[in-house]
Parts: sequence; C-alpha cells; structure tokens
Amino acid sequence: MRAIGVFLVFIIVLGCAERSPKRLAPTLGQVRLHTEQRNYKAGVPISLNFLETGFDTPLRLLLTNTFGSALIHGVRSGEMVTYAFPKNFYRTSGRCEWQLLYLGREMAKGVVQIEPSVPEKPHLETYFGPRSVIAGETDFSMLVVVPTDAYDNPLPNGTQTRIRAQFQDNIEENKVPTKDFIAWKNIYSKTKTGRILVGASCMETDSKELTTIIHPTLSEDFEIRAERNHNFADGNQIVRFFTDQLRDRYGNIVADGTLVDFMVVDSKGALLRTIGTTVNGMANANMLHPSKKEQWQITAYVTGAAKSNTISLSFAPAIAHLPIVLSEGGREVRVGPILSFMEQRVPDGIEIKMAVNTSEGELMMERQTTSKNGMGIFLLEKAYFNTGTYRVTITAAGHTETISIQLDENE
Amino acid sequence: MKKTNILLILALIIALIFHGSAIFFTLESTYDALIHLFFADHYAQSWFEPWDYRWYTGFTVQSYPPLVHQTIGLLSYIGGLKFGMFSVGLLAIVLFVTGAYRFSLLMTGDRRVAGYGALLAVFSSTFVETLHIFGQLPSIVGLSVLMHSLPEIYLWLKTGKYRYFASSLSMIAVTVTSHHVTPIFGMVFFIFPLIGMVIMDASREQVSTMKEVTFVVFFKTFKKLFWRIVGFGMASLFLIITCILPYWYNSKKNPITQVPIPHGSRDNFLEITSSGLVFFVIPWGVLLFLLPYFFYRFYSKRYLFFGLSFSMLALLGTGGTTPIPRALLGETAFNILTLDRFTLWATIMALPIFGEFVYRMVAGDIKSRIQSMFGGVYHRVLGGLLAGGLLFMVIFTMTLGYFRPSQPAKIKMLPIVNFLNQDSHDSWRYLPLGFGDQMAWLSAQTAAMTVDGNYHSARRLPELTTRAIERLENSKFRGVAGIGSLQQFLTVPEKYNLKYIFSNDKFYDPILYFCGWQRLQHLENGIMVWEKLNVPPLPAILPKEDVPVFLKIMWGTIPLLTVLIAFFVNIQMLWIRTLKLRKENVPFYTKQSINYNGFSSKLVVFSHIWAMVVLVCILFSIYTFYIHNSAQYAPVNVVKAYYNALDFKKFEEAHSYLDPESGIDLAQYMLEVSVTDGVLSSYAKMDSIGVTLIEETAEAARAKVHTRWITPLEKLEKEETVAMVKRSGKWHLLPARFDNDVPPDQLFTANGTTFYNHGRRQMTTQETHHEDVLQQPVLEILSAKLVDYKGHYSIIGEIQNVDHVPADVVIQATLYNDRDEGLANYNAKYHMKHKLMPKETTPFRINFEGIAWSSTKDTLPPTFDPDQFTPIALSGLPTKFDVQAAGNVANTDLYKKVALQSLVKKDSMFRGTLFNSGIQEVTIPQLLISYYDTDHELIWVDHQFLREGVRVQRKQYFEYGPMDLEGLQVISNSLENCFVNGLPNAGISEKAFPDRDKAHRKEQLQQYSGAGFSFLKFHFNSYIGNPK
Repeated sequence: MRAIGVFLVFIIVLGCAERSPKRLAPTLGQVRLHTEQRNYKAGVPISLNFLETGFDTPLRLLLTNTFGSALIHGVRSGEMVTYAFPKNFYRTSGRCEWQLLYLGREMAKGVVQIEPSVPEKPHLETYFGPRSVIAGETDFSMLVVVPTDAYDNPLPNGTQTRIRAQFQDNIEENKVPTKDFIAWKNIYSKTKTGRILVGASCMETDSKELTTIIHPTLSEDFEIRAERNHNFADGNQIVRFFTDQLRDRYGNIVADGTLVDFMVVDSKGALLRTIGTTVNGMANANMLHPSKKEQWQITAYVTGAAKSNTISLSFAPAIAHLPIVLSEGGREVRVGPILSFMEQRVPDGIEIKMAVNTSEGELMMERQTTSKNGMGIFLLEKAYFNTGTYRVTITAAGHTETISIQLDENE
Repeated sequence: MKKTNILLILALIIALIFHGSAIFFTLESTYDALIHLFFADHYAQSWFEPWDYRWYTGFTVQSYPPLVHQTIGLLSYIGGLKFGMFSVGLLAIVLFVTGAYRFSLLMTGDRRVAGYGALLAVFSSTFVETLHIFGQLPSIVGLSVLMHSLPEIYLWLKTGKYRYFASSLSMIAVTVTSHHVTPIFGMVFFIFPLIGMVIMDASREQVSTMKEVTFVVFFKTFKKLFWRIVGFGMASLFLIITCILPYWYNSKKNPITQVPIPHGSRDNFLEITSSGLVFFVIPWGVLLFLLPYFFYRFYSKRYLFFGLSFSMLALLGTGGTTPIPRALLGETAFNILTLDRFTLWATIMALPIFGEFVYRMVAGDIKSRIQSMFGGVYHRVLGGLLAGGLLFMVIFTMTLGYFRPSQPAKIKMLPIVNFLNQDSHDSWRYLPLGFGDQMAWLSAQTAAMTVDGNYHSARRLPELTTRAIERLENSKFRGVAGIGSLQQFLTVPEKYNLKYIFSNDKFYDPILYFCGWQRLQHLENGIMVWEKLNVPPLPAILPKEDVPVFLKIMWGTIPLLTVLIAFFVNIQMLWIRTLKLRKENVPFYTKQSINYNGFSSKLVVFSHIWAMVVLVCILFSIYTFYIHNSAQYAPVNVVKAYYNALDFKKFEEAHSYLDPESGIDLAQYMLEVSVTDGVLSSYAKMDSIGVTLIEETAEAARAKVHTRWITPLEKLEKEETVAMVKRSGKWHLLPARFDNDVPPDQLFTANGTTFYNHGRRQMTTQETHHEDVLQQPVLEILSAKLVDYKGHYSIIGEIQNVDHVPADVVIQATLYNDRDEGLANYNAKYHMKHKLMPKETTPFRINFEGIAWSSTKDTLPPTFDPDQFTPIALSGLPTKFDVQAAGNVANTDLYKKVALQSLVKKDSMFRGTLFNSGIQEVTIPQLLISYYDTDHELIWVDHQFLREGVRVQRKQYFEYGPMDLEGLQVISNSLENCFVNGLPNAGISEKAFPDRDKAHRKEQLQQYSGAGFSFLKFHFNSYIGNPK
C-alpha cells in the first residue's frame, strides 16, 4: 500500500514537471557532398553521396520539388552515406532542391536539375474548347497541346508541334513550338456552319481527333404566311402560320428549335400569341379560327434578333342569325338550329350563353352550354322560375338575341 | 400444479404460432419496425461509430437506446437484417408472454390465474396493436423485461436477499438499454405501486387480517424496508444513467427544440374518431366492458397503489379528450410524449386482474354467482360473448392494416438501390416521396444519403425542426407545414446537394416540375426518378459531431453486456421456476393468493349496467355514423356524397347520385369524367366542403357548393351552383353539362425538334470524360431589379436563352445591404419557365423565403395553405443584389404549343382562351404575367395556375384579374452584378447578342391602364402529366 502511495506521488510529480527547454548541445560533425553530377534526365535514379563524420544521430535529406517535399534516410557504409531519391523525385523534371539536416539544422544544401527525357514518341495531351462557336470571323476555339515525356514531364520549350484543322474541303496545318510547356492555337470560326475537326502531332505521336461545332449566328428578318381552309369565323378550323427559312447573315439556317413568337393583334387591340419552333429553319404555329367576325394582324419575332413582315387576316361571320324557339308554356328555350355559312349546322361545341332577367331587369341566372348538332337547349325549371314574365338574352357567335317569356302556372 | 404449466406452455405455443407467423406479414408494414431495421443496419456496418450520414444530413444513433438495434445488427451477420428483425420479434413474443405470466403470478399469487393471464396476454388487442400495427419492438422488449424484473424486485424488497437484488437490477439494466421511456415511467407506474404492495404484504404479516393493516402498521413496515427501497432506487437510478450515458449526453447536447409533431394519441378521441379507435378502443378492447371489475379489484387494500397507478394511466391515455392529461403532464411533456403508451401500460397492468376475472368466470365464484342469479345458459352465453369479443378485437386489429393500409404498397427496392449505385448517383443526396416508412428500408440498403429521415427526434436542419412534420416524404399529409418544407428543399436543392427524387406518388409531380425538376426515367418498379440539373455533388468530407471515445465504447459494449449479465444471473432461476426442473422454494408472493369465493352480486349487477352503457355508446356511434353517411337522405347529403365520391375517384358511386332521368348512363359519364384532366381532377385532395342551400322545395333544390382543395401547388377554392331533384324519395344531383366541343381534325401531324444527350459516351468508372461534358448554354439576363412590394423584397427580371440548344435555367439571387453584407439568398421557384428553347425569353421573380415559423412560438395556421409564404427576416435594408443564372442543356419538357386564342377585357378582368395546337395533353397550364410601367420597364411578375388542363386541339377558358401595383417601389435596377454560368452578363450580351433590337420587346406588350402599370404580357408554361 505504501509503495503504491509513493509511486502515485512520483507519477504526479513527474506529470507536473515541465519539459526542459534546453537540450544537450548536439555534437556537430563534418559533412561533404561527394557526388558531383548536378544534371540528370528524368527517370534515371539519382542518389547523392555524402561524407559524414562526427554526428551522434543520423542526418536526413529533405527534398523539395514542384510537387512537394520528402524527408529521406541515408544508407551508411563507412563514412559514406548514400541518399537515394524516391521515384517521384527523380522522375519529375525541373529543379529539385535538397537540404541535409541534422536535428532540424541545415548542414548543407544544393540543387539538382532534372531535364525531361525527350523520347521519340512523347505523350500528347490535347484540349480543345469551347465545344461550339458562333459563325462569323470573331469567335474561336483554342487548341492546347502539351507534349510530355513518359513521366508526364512537359517537354522543353521550343519543341515543335504540328496542329491541323479541317473544315469542309480545307485542311490547314500549322507548326507551333511549345512555350512554357504548351503549344496553342486559336481556331477561328467560319462563316458557314459545320464542324471543325482538329488534331495535333509532336514528333512521332499523333493526338486524337477533337471537334468544335460552328453554330449559325442570329437570324435575319424573315417572311411569314398563313394558310386556312376558308375565311369564315366558325371557331372550328385551324389557321396555320408558317415562316420561310430563317437564316443568319451568312445564309446559314438557324439552329433547330429556335423559338418564333407569332403575335396576333385582333380588332379590339388584344395581343394574342402562338409559338412555333424551327425545323430546318422553318417554324409553324397554329391557332383556331375565331368564332366571330375578326381582323387579325400577325407579326412573328425571334425576340431581339429578327422580325417578320406583318400579314393581315380577316374572318367573315359564319353564322347569320340565332333562331330561338320556345316550347309551349315557355319552359324550354331551344336555340337553333344554328346554321353556318353554307346553311349547314354548325360543328358541335359553339358556346351559347343565356342570361335570365326579371321583367324589372334584375339578373336572376346565367347559364352556359355548348351546341350539339347545331342546337342548344336551356330549361327554365318550375322549381326556380315562378309564373311571370322574364327577359331572356341568348349570346352566341357574336350575336345577341333578347326575347320575353311568359311562364304559365299549368306548364 | 401441473395444470398451470400447461396453460403457460399453451400460451407460448399459441403465441409463437399465431404472432410468430403473423409478423412475417405484418411487421414490415408497421410504422416503426423498418426504422429499427435501419438503426440495426447502422450497427451492423459500424458498430462503434454513432454518426450516421444517411439521414438528415447526418445524425447520431445515440439518440435511441441501442439494445434491440444491436441485437438485430448482430443477428444480421447470420442471415441478413430481416432475419435479425424477425428473430428479435419472436424473442419479444416469448419475453412478453412469459413476462405477463410472471407479472400475473406476482400480482395474484395463483399459478392457474397467472396461466390465464399469460393466455390472455397472447390475445390482448393492445399487444397485437403494438406489435403488428406499430411494430414497436424496443418498447415490447423493454416492457416485457420490466415485467420479468417485477417479481425479483418484490423478492428483494421482501426478503432482502442480495441474489434478488442482483437479478432485479440486471433486468432493469436490460430494460434501460432497450427502451428509455419504459424504465423511467415504469419506475413511476409499475415499481412504485409494487413497493406499496410489498409494504402492504409485509404489514399483513404483522397482523392477523387485512383489515388490521392500518396506516400506522403500514408506516412502521415502510420504515423497516426503507433502506432496501432506497438501495434499489439508487442502484436503478445509477443504471438508468450509466447504461445509456451517451444517450443522456446527446440529449443534453442536442436538446429536442423542435415544434411538436401532432400525434393522434393527443387528439380529442370524440372529435377525431379514427384516433379514438386506434389509441383507445383497440388497446382497451373487451377490457372496456370489465372496467368496474378492474377498479373494484385494484382498489382493494393490497392493490391500492396499483389501483392509483392504473387509474392514472387510464386517464393519461385519454389524450386530448379531457383537459386533465395536459394539465397533469404540463404543456411540454404533453406535446413530446405519445400518450398511447399510457394506455398500453394500463392495459398490460390490467392483464393479471383480467386473468383473475376469466379464471373466476370459467371455474370460480363468478361462474357460480351468475349461474345462481341467471342460470347456466346465460353464463355460457356471456362467456361466449366475452371470448367472441376478445377474438373479434384480435382479428379486427390484425386486419386493420389490410383494410385500411397505413403504408403504401410494398415497393421493390432493388431497382432504386441499383440506380443509386450506378454511375455515381450516390454522390448526391436523394429524396424519396410517398414511400411511407419503407424509406427506412431503402436507406438501410444503400450508402447514399437523403435529406429526409424517419426518426424525427434526431432531425437537425432548421427547415425540418421548425415544422410539425415527421418526414418530407409524406409531406402532403402534413398540410401547409409539410408542403412548405418540401418546397424549400425543392427550390434550393443545391444547398443540400439534393439531385434525385424517387416519387411513388404522382401528387408531388406538379410541384417538382414547377420548381424546375425534370423526369429522368421510370424504374422497373414503377418509381419515377426526377432529377435537378446544376446541383454540385457532395463534398468528400462531411461535417459530423464527434463524441468522446469512451462514450462510443460504452454505447457499443454495455447494452449487449447487460443482456449477458442478466442471462447468467437469471437464467438458472428462470428455468427452474418456469419449467420446474427441480423443486425450489415457493416464492413468497405465491402465498398471497386469495380464495375466490362469494363474488358480490351487486358488482355483477353494476357490471351489467356498465356493459349496457358501453354497448349503447357503441350502437349510438354506429347509428350516427350511418345517418351522416346516408347519402340520399337530404339534398345536402347527396352533394357531399357526390363530391366525396369524386374525390376518391369512385365514379360509379358518383354516377349513382346523378338524376336517373337525365339520361346519362354510366358509360357516358365515365367517358366525360375520364377526359377531364388538370390540377383539380388529378392532383387535388378535397380539404373541406361547404354546402349552402339557395332554395329548396319539396321536389327540387339548388345549392352553392364551396369546396377547398389541397393541391401540391396551392390551395384552391371552387364555388359552383348545383341543382338537385327528388325522385321516388331519394335526392339526386342534376348532372352538369359537359363541353360538346369537337376538335377540327381526326388525325393531324406535328413536327418538332427533339434532343438527346448521351451523357457518357466513353465507358469509364472515372469522372465523366471532359469531352463528354456538354457546354453550358449561354443565357442573357435582359433586366434585373430589386423591388419592394407591400414590404416584401423580390428580385424580378427577364432572361433569354441566347444559345442554340434548349436550356434548363436556374436563377439564384442574393440581397446585400449598403455595407455589402449578404442578407439572404434564394432561387426562383415557379415564377419562371425553367426550360427555355433557343431565343426564348422568360420573366422571373425570386421571393426571399425564410424558414417558416423559425421561432417556434408562432402559432401554426390551423388549416392547409401550400402557398403560404414566410418572408425572410432581414437583418438590414437590402439595397443591392446579385443574380447568378446557370444554364444546362435540357432535352425534356420543351412543349410550347399552347396559344393564347382570345383575350377580352371585361370588368377589370381578362377573360382568355388557351388553345392547345400540339400533340401533348397539357395537364396544368401556368400563366406567367409580367407587368411593365409606362417606359416599358418590367416592374412585377405574377403567376396563375389554371385548374383544368388543355387537351389536344381544344380550348380552355381562364380569367385573370390584374394586380394592383400602386406603391410598388423599384429599389435597384442594375445588370452590374449579374452573372451567367459564372461569367459577367455584360460580356455575354456583347458577344452573343451584339445588336439587340430592343423594339421587339416593346411591341409584344399588351397595353392596359392598370393600377400602377401600363403594359402586361402573358407567358405560358405547361406541365404535362403523361408525356407521350
């Protein structure tokens, strides 16, 4: 028990003790670089030999290159200590600095220069972008070529590369030397749309094929036209608007899917809209015939870029008048048969509205139906309409008819 | 003596056959089981690391006691997670039945009665519900072990033998590590009364009859046993704290500061009858008829303390029906606890007494009393009714999940798991929608992470904790808070690296579309995958909250250790006692059995009266249910019935309410109904219906019907006038007239450009090759402004796709004050078209939404309002802004074939007609309306969803009331800080659109002299529900 107590006190005392800031003075020895070679080729193993004497602890070699640092141990044989560079240091071209350290203190330092090993078939990295350009002579894509050796070291400045670009029947070739590791060339757009293919080579290595696409530039103004089956406002036929082929200023057809906004101004000044997207430069948009007499002014836009001519369409009324027939007792209001422009019954679906007012003019009820077989039927049910006189207004296809109805008790 | 064993063994056999086989069909569709499975998967993957990244952007599993999860996890090494779960399920069944037996034996001291107790435990509806509907495995294990510990505690207090001290504490430890609430409340509601009973029994020994046990005797005995009680109390408190110390540590560090989540057990059961059924009627079951007997027995002197505890539990279990539970528990506890537990404990506590009753009914004095009072046949009938009632409740409870499924149909997870593993899809977060509790099973099978989760106490994002929603996944059931929360995640998915959504419920489709998501593919299990472009992948290192290593070790080792210890301490005694391998001293409590003779005839009569009252209540509720639902009894009923039928898409039923003389047969009706599409008919859920009779005669009636509908986008209200007629005593609805419109062309053609993106052209497991990455489409921001309208700040503007390919557009804006400090940022939600064709323009508006109800004191709105908007609280006045737009190549949802066919200004309203000239059926058309001042400068952007879709070559009418923009203030109008794909907007404008003709914009504006504006323009955005 006592022993444990003593031990505990000992531990506590030890725990409280501060680590002494002073160290025993290290014994400094002598060091001399034995290796004389300063320049190397990448990939050739490098080792530095030092003559070291009089050190009590082994020295360390600190290596620093563009990718980072590493501390390495040496192998001693007699007074000669050999420090072998790790792979990633002797394979990386450029400056590699070294420092020989003894307990963190620099004893010697120096630099070795590693040159890329220029092979006959270097690796070739190529980058090409952007992937699309606009037609014209100002936009361009840039091709960057980086020839490297087997260890991914860029080859020395001035290494010749050949850059080729194909557009339609034309192949251009340019010789571009590398500068600051890369060779680059701006490939300018052409006035015609299409695809530019590029490739590069350096010594005996050829790159893969890269491409950029020339898109058309903004559309120029264009023409539109309308097609329809007849010019009656029957509310049931499609009127089709077409553009001619939209082209840019170089005559290229605009990109598929370009949105064309057809703005229609009707006779009351309301702005209607229908939208088309181009296929092979031509856009088409549809609307329904109006259901009453109408005059349309149509202009199409590729907003901000191009505008069409304005065309005018007029629609003649299809329905001459609204026949209204009352049943005996007046509880059933039959609108129709509504006849269209050739005395045929109108297609199903013409909107018919009925408003019922009391004889004093107070609105009682509004109803709406659509025509079926040219007819629209409203019922004035006994449950809601007592005996009396009502004014019934029927509205359809731009016509309004008002009649007076006398409802009897017995019906 | 032999007979008892047979009853217990019979109970065990039946329990294993019945529950053991049933769990394979029920457990996976319970509320909780799969959550425990997910936790188990966590332990199976990393036993000692409590942090799990997969839910809630990371949470700690130290928020739930781990024993059951770890056991499942351990067993999963043998046969997979589900094997583990079912094994633990079987174990829980055995523990429960034996626990009920031991508890009954302790209470009644009679082996035969205890045998009945065990048998009744098997068929108790509360157990059936807890296991087969709720799937609360830890709770069952905890409770069962607690019941096992009660006799040991009794014996320790009574005899003072340390053997019992050890055995009782060992079991308390197991209870603690399997469920945290059970031991805490178990202390109060089970162990305190038990202590009282021990003292009572010990006092009884001092005197010759029970009557002589006075308070003085009781108090003296209490003093004698005081130190044993204190010793046990302190030791178990120590266990409760240390066994799950990491849990307490975590609760302290991350206190539950969230808005309480509504739970049915807190409802008023009389108002919300479904909650009453699940949380009151089912757990009590036939016990309701026997309440007088329970109270009679529990308030005998020996059980007095149990009586108090039982009454308290029964009372607390009534939830919000009376104000008493709220007053007793206090506001906080009332809102955190699920009160159904109290009912569970009450019914479990009643088991021994129920067993006693049944024993006396079958072979004891009640039998003879009833036979003497009413004759033998009546006794048999009564017994038959009781047994029948018991079995009915069991079958009813078991099949509840079948007839009223609480979960969506079982989803095959493999295609989703494969999708997530494919092509690095798990480098983003995902979100399941409409999965129910099966989302936990999905999470358990994948390493991918979701922003959602299924254990709401562990939620961390304020977007979730400030709202009363359990999960985003089922947000449509959580009204405004749910959809509101979901919308925030959908609008700013970049913040959560959320890229994929698995939708099992088409209800959410419109909101996904209008928030800028796009459909990716249908998986083979029918799940639709939605994706969002422009979302960065998850960073390699995610934040986590670390805990000290010793807590991790405690958490990983203690729970199973408690089981091992309990096993070694108890197993010997247990086997000896239950299977009677060798003769052992009879435990003291068995001497406490009483002779059952001379059952009070008054109680028989009173019980009959009580049973009558209960029966009348049941019959009355069935009757009112019938009257309310008798559809054609009155004109108002038929309207409600018709709309309800429509809401649930029961068209045949709806048709039966229509006037038979209207001449519309079912086929015709189906034809007319099936063609209507739109947000109202396809994506809405009726919230409420109000019917006001305008006029009613004996034969006919007319009524205004005001309906409110919940849709994923906004709350809709609809007012219609309907007419009813009475035909042969039944009311019918007059059918509305359908549109007779016939499209012009039978067959027609449409041309268009379609786009396809290969994604990766080169097969590689590496990052997509740079040549295969598409260039981002170039956009140009035409205008951007910061405006203040009615005290809300918004950024509005116009943006055009100036590239040659369609673009998916994401716009984010940030507000700054004068000192260039960022105040808030948000994305454009549905005030824009997210997909733009080449050269298409869209207006946009960005509202700065705050996190709703971030101060939890705000009162929650009582009804649903999905477009409820919480303006952000800004710390200063915004004076500047930046706009970051990003384009990505889009190849879906590019339908533009909706035309504005006519537009009429009438009574300060626009009445317009849309015409669909293309070949896709537009399910939800959206109008975007941009407003301009006299100088043709944009000042506001508004939107309107149309309720009905536009079918092919058909028209749809709409009405739009222009806004009052008086008082709108443009604070800043600048394109200076606008960026597209990270590049300044000015440069793009120069390069891509050098000679923009600004007149075009002006020519496309509709003149209108409105309040505060001079021009406006309509834009259309079409959601297509079923693209062809």
